[in-house]
Amino acid sequence: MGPKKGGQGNKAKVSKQPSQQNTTQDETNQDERLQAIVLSDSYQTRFQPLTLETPRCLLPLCNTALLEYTFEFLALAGVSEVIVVCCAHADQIQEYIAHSRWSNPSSPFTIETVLSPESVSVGDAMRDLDAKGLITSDFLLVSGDIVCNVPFDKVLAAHRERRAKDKNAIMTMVLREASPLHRTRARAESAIFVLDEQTNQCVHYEEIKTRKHMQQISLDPEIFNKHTDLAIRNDFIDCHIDICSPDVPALFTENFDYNHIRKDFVHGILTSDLLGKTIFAHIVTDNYAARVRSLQTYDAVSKDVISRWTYPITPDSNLLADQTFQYQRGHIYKEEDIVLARSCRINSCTVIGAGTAVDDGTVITGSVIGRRCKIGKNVSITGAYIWDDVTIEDDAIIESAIIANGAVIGASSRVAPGAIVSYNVKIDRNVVVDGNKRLTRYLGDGLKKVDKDAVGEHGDGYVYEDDSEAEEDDDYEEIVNSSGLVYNMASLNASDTSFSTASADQMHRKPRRRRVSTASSNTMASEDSDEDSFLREAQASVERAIAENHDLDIAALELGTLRMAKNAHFHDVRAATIAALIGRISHLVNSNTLKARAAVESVLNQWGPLFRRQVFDQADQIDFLLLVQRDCTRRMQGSSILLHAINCLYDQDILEEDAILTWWQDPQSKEDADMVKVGELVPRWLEWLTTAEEESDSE
Amino acid sequence: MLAAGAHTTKEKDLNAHIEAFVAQLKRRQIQGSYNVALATAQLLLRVVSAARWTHIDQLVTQIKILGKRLQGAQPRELACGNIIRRVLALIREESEDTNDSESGDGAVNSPLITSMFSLLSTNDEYGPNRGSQSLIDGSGRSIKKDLKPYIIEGIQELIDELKNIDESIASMGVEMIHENETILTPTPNSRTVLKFLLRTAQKRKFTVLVVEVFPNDVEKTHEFALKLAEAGIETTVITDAMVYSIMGRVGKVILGTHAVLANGGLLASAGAAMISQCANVHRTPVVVCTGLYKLSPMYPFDVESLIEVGDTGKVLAFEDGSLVDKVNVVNPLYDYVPPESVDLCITNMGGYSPSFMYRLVLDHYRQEDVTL
Repeated sequence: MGPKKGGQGNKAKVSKQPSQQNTTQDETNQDERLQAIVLSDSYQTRFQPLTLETPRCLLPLCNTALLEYTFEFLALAGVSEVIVVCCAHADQIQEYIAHSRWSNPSSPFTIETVLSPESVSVGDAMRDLDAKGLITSDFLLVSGDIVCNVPFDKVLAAHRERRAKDKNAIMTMVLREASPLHRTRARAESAIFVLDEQTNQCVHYEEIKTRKHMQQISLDPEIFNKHTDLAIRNDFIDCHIDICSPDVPALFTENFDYNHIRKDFVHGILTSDLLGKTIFAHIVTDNYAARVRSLQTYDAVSKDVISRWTYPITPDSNLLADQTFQYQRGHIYKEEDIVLARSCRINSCTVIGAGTAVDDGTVITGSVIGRRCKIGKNVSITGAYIWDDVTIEDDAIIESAIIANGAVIGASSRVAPGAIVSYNVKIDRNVVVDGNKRLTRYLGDGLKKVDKDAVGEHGDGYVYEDDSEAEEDDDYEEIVNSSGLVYNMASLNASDTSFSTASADQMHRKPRRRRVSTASSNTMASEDSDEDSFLREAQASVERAIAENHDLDIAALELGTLRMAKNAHFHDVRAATIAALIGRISHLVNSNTLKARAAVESVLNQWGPLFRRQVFDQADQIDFLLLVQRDCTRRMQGSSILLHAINCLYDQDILEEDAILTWWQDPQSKEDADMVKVGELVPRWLEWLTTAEEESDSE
Repeated sequence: MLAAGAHTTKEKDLNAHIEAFVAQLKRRQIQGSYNVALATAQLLLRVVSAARWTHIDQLVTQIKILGKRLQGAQPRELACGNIIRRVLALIREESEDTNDSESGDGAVNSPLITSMFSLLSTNDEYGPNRGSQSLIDGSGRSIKKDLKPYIIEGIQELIDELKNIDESIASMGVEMIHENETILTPTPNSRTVLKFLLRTAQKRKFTVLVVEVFPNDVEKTHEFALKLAEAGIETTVITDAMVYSIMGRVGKVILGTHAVLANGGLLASAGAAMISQCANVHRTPVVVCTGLYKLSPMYPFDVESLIEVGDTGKVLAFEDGSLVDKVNVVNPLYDYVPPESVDLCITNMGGYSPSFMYRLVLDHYRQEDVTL
């Protein structure tokens, strides 16, 4: 690395002085000029089909292009030279910048665009920059889609101090604290940071793959020798704002297989013993920092901007010269020159651009409406993002969807949450656009036919399918899938809560094997999926045993092995076995092969003994009974299956009388309507049980 | 209007400077009425020295246009508009003065008629007699003076006034605060109040209760209290909730303010309205310390449009994901305090009743400049 680095360092490029700069900054930053590299391309396809026509950084967020927010942040951070790396749609970005106020002499920094048309990843762009020798000193590396109001002087001072002490501290990552299921965190991308508590040195980085089972991260034992206090955290919004030294692009050049700045670069540098470079984190607890990296975060960041978490970067500070937003109570932002009918209702958290007309009876809630839109009568718009020049005819319903420039939504049509209607698509009357549809009119490769099913008889546009997905490696695909999926906020939130409660109540039922210090439900989430997979496999194994009529011992052995391999708890083993056996019983009952009682007896007499190796003490029995009861709620004739199963297992001495009575008094056995309903036959049996007991006693 | 040629680079320079200033205002890099007022005055000084006009009305329109832009950048910061109106009033006054002196001095041929002419004639025709043009023909006549140095001098005086404003207010403290009195102040971000108390402490011994204005000014409260304590004043920081219970023991409430409106009402940090109401209930006098630059000719017809809404994150921690999603938080930075709640306004011109504020507005601003 020596010669390369030396070459970089000596190439002291004479950077041109900005023609104008505000005087205060000029004086203080004379010798500490700060460069910023803005990566305008995301090298991702999550915003397609919108990004087929416009680069992501020029998509409007609250009626202002995303790039503006990035530049605003850079201006706030006191950057004096900005280099924008363009790849896809470079012409559009260059034109936008040329006509923006950032090219004026009043701009606080000089701006320059660099083309890097061949690059397909962050790594390529960095290598390109290195080759061009544009970087002269420590620089700020950001993507063109961040929204941030963190005062940067402290971060920068801390970084410079570290650099002065230790030349090997090559990078500082800016991380914002946020709870694990925060809306502004990209759900598809989260990561574990292992930090030294005192110095905030990042000693390990691991990406969490949501769809894959990740049970453990491996840490080099050396780490524990070097650092006394380690924090393992995953409660960060990582918006990829990094202060890098010129070594960083050089390292990218050296390691030509590095593509991703976090997954490859940070992980690679930290796991490599040879380089001896260190990376630090700067944790931000006040202020706001986020990145629009998926449709889900687009939604979240829009909401954050509207509800003024990003103050002073809000719509009413009118970032662009021609904007005239004014703030009204309830986070409503209206530009001048909008026409609102007397009977229309504008509810809170709404942004409406100039030249828009809203007709009678229309209700708009929590939405962003662009400029020059025509909105008809009795339209309902909830949580939607409607860009410029959109026409929405009477009685249409639009929920949490993105409607891009120039689109037309026909009368009485409905756009379901999560849908994307791209540029100039026309949707006919009475059409329902499903939540998972992405409609476009872009005819890039191969002329596509108008899809009449999707847009109606007189509509225009077709359903966009992401062909590139198949070619990508699988975790890429995972991200693409989940980003589309998670945009559907409503259903996602529901699944989130059930998710976390599930893990929470399993938490108290069984001891956790391994606890990560700041374990939050994301790590649990990955374990959960692990448990899920165990449940599936175990259940399949028992079902197979029944179907192929295996020996009981073999089935038990199989379960045991599986349990060991997955490090699962007996609770899960029981759950799986019960699911399989009750499933079998209910199959027999439903197909009318046997009556409930006979079915239960035939199955349990043969397979019941399995439970002998799973149920040990009274607590286990209660847990077992609860599981059976819960399982029966899902079955036809669940109540009678439950009754006979208890009876049968009682006869087999698997269940003891005390356990059954305790179970019945346990509030969990009656915690909801289903549980109570399925247990309706139990009291009679219990009565019989107690009387039988008394009789035997009296004898 | 622009003479072009040699001056274009300077013009460009100035334009860039204005744009940068607007951007800084938008980014809230310049904040607080004092800082904004001072920066605006300094900018106007530059604009006026660079400006070239043939008639004074051209300068007025030029500054009005600039004023509109600056106002737009931080519409809820009234100090910026106030300074612009002050400068406009100054320009008008200077030009009228020259009119008067001109008519009074040499002009035998009925000055009344010239002024009648000036009503009907357009600016350009009228122009050559005035302003910088007068240098050419005014070789012998000292009456047709160039207004520019006078205006610049006026703005310079305004800047000096701004810089010394706290001093003149502070000197009135001795008359306001008695020995061993208990003072309550809910506006710890006010420099004026700080200096007022510090100066008075040299002559009097008194106790100050500083209200911790959650959430926007908590840190400033602590700094403020520390400074007072270091000056040997007995200082206590109390929470906002304690105000009512402690009001009975308070001798005076001293408010700093963000702006004073034409009716004598105030825009002060959020919480001030509640505290002044509370003081009214206890018949505790409420005294406001304010520089005249905060006095705005605006009338609070729509109070909401005057109140800036700040960073939501100060009220609710952003990291609390489950709440962020479900709660709508509003963090107003200011409160409107009605004039009835205020007993006395101490300005650098002396103490006035809030009902007299309209008079000060008339003295300092021109009616025609109220809407920029």
